[in-house]
Formats: sequence, structure tokens, C-alpha cells
Amino acid sequence: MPSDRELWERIVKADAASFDAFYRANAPGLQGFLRQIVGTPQAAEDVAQETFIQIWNRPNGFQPDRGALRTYLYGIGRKRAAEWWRKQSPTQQGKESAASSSHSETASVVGDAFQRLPEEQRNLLWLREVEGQSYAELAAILEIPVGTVRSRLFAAREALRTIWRSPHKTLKEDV
Amino acid sequence: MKCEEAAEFVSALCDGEKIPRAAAEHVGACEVCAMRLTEYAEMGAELRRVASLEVMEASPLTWGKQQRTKSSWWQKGWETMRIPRLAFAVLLLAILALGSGLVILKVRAQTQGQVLMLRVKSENGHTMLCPLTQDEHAPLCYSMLYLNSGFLLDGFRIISRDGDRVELGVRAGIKAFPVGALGGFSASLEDIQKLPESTYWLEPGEKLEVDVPRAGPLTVTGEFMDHIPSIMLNDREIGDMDPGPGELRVISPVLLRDKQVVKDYAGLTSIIFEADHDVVYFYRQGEGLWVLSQSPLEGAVRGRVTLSRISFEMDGASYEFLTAAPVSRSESVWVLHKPDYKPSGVFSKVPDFQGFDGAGSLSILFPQAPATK
Repeated sequence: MPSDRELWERIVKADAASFDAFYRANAPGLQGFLRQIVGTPQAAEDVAQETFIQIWNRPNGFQPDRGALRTYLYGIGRKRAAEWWRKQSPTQQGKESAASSSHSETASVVGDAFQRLPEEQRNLLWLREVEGQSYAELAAILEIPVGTVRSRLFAAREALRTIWRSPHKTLKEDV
Repeated sequence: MKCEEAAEFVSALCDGEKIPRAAAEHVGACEVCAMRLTEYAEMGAELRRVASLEVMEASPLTWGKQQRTKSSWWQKGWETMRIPRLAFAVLLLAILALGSGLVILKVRAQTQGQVLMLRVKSENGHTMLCPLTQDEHAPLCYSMLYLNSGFLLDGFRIISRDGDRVELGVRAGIKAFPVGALGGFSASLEDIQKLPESTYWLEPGEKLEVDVPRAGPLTVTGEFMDHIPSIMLNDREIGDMDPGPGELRVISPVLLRDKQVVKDYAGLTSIIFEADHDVVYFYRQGEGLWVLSQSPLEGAVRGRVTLSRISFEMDGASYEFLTAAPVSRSESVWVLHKPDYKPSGVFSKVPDFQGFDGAGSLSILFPQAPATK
């Protein structure tokens, strides 16, 4: 398996096979993360595509000495998602928000509580708990100091725990 | 330790982080904290379970197939077309190559937060971090950089904010050394305040160049933050209160002698990062020179490090430095005091020179430096 530096050099040289492997290894995780931001699987897929296209088209921002390629990818994905939101009309934003809280097939009590968190806390918890990003990686992706990562993770967990344990918040409210 | 104090460390524990001894003892003995830890772990496991279900629901993921199944602007009308993968990839690249010249993407930096963290880089590579708020009482953020030709003076403040854009007030210029000054010359905040103020609009994520005659441009970038970092040194934010390996941090120390306050070095920040320097030092007129090292120094006494305290005995008296943050991972540092120290070089020629501090080599301080053992 090539190192991030080797992989990046190949991508810069337009090695389609290497990029294809990079895409297949990281697209599912990135889509899962982006879904927490943009709300629907289709929108997440679109933003993930745009993210990969940007990297393929303009491979000029990654510095191997400063972090992992996956961290760089998620950082770009997050910015593309923010850009995507700015392009949505208020009506569309309402629809997307409603869609994001009605994925009943995979819902659970914790998952339902998770959807009630503010976007920033959802992003942070998802990257940490699901993607297993380290504090340093989270700091790079979210552009916050490492010390802030710890305090925000705590705040997010407490918020999730409070909603989860609240007797009046059940799945049925959203379905 | 109380549960509310330990709670954040429970979260850190959940992430595989080490936590302070006091917190670890509390969590081990407290049922409430143990329950919180269990619940955090359960929540994480459940999130991962739900995420696993969602990933399995996702459509097949290959670069080529994804391009064909998505419905972005450049693909409309092409969904049902069957062409070889290689041909499609070439077509896709051609479209992207053409499209890239037509589409201007503007990615903005994070706009949350009320603190604008400016990063000001001078032409010689020196970088300063400058946290600014719109508070009219906030002090000017400024620096005085010693160059061969004089002092490069610059100061920044926020005048107004319009959405993401910030109107900056900038004072910048050179205070040239008079002929024959030979270093006996200083600059002050008053010199900066006398400079004319120019206004610039800065958008986070973009670069601003402030031209300073005879010193080259200052490159200014900025991003919004939700707080001012508690510890900063030149161009580094120290986000973690836990010192890194090899670090020695002396931040805003207060010196006690036999439990009585001798000197408050408020605002002083000197840090050794990962053995990139030998010693931390600070000199104040009338108080002499203090030198702290993680290695034994000739004439130095051994100090005991306990969190943010350095305790030591010297000349029959007990001393303590109380600092604003944990000092080191090491249990000991070596403390050298030179009460009669006289600054040399440039500083010796500055009238009424008040003091200096920093981290570096002993040779900066002493022509014949005391050796590290």
C-alpha cells in the first residue's frame, strides 16, 4: 500500500488507477460524513463527487508533512458542503433538513438523538466515533485548535446523552 | 475532584486519551462518572452500528460508476448512455478540463466566531499571531521587529465587520536607526500609535498585502475563531494544556520567596519546543536574570516540577515559580539565577533597558556560557 506521499505524487501525475483506488477507499466514509452536513444521501453523494473532482482537477493543496491525505480530503469535503449549503434556496434547505431527520430504516434511539444535535456537534462526533479521526486530524479538518477538539467533543457527547436520556424524546416524534 | 470537573476527562478517556492522575482516580472511584463513561461508549458503538447500516445502503462506489449515476449539471441527459469506461474517463477529463476554465469556485473560510485570528508575515519570514475582536476597548495588537535598518512597527485593529468581511485599521512603518546609534535605540507602542492608520478590507481565506516602504510587504491572512487561544507564542497556538515531550513552558510566572511574592512576570511567555532550544530565560532590570533548563547547568539548583509550580531552594531560602500552565512532563528543571547580570550587545546600549525574555542558547546570554552537563 503506497504512503500518502507516494499516492499524492501519483494523483498529481494524473495516475487514474491510483486515484480510483483512493476514491474507492475513501468515498463511502466521506459520503457518510457529508450526509451529516447536507442531510440526504443524494446530496452527500453529489458533494463527495465534487470533492473528488476538485482534487483530481486541481491537486495542489495537500502537504504530506502536515497531515494525512484522508484528513485533507475531509477538510475539502467539509468546505464543499458549506458551499453547497450556500447555493441552496431557503425552500430547498427546509426540504433537506426534513429529509435528514427521516431515515427510518436505519434509525435507532441514539441515531434519532444524534440527528437532533447541532450540525457542528454532529460533524465532530461522526468524525470521531464513526471515522475514528484523531484529535489532531479533527483539528485540521474543522480548523480548530486541538485543545478545543477535546472540549467540543465533551460538549457534543453531553448534548447527545441529554437528548438520548430524555424520556420525552422518542423516535416517534420524527416518523 | 468533582464530577463536573472530571466529566471532560471521561470524554477524553473514551477517545483513548491519557488523563490527569486526579481525574483518573476520581473516575475509578465514582459511580456517576463510571456510568457516564459506559454511556459514552454505548453511544459511540450505536453510532457506528447505525453508520454501518447506512454505508451498506449506499450505491456501488467506483469512480466511473459514480460519475454515470450522479445527476450533476454536466451529466444531465447522459444517464442512459453506455460507453466503455476508458472512453468515458477521457470524456470526463475533457469536460472537466474545459469546465475548470469557466467555473470560478470561491471557498470561504469558516465564518463562525467573533475573534479574528490574524496571521501577519513579514518579508523576512517572521510571523505574528494577532487575535482581534470588535470590542472598542480591545488593545491594539502590535509587534516591533528588529531589522538591520531599524524597527519594523505594525499594529492592527478591527474597525468594522460586514458579514464575512472585516475592515482593518493598520499602522505600519519603519523606525529607522539614526546614523551612529549602534543599537542604543528603542521603539515603543507610542511610536506605532504615531504612524498614520490605513484601512483595508480582509476576507477570511484570502491574502492581504500591506506594503511597508523599506521593509517589503506584510502578508496578512485571517480566520474567525470562537475564542482567543489561552497560550500563543509568535506564530504558534498552544491548544493543549498538556506539555509535549521535551517541552518546557514558562508562562506568566509569579516568583515567591519564602511564600512571599517577589516578582510578577505577567504576560511573559517562553517555551522550549521539543529540545529546539537549550534554555528558557528572562531578565528584568533590578531582578537579574533567571535561566531554566531541562538539563543540569553549572551553578544551577534542581527544581521540582509539580503541575504549574517549580519549587527550589536557593541561598537558604525556598522559592517557587507559579505559572499559568503545566511546566513540563519532567519532574525536574534546573534553575540558575544571576542577580547581577548585565545585558550585553545591543541591549547594553539601550537607555533604561527594562528586560527581555525568550528561549535559546546560553551563548546568547553569556560570552562564556555555563556548560550543560
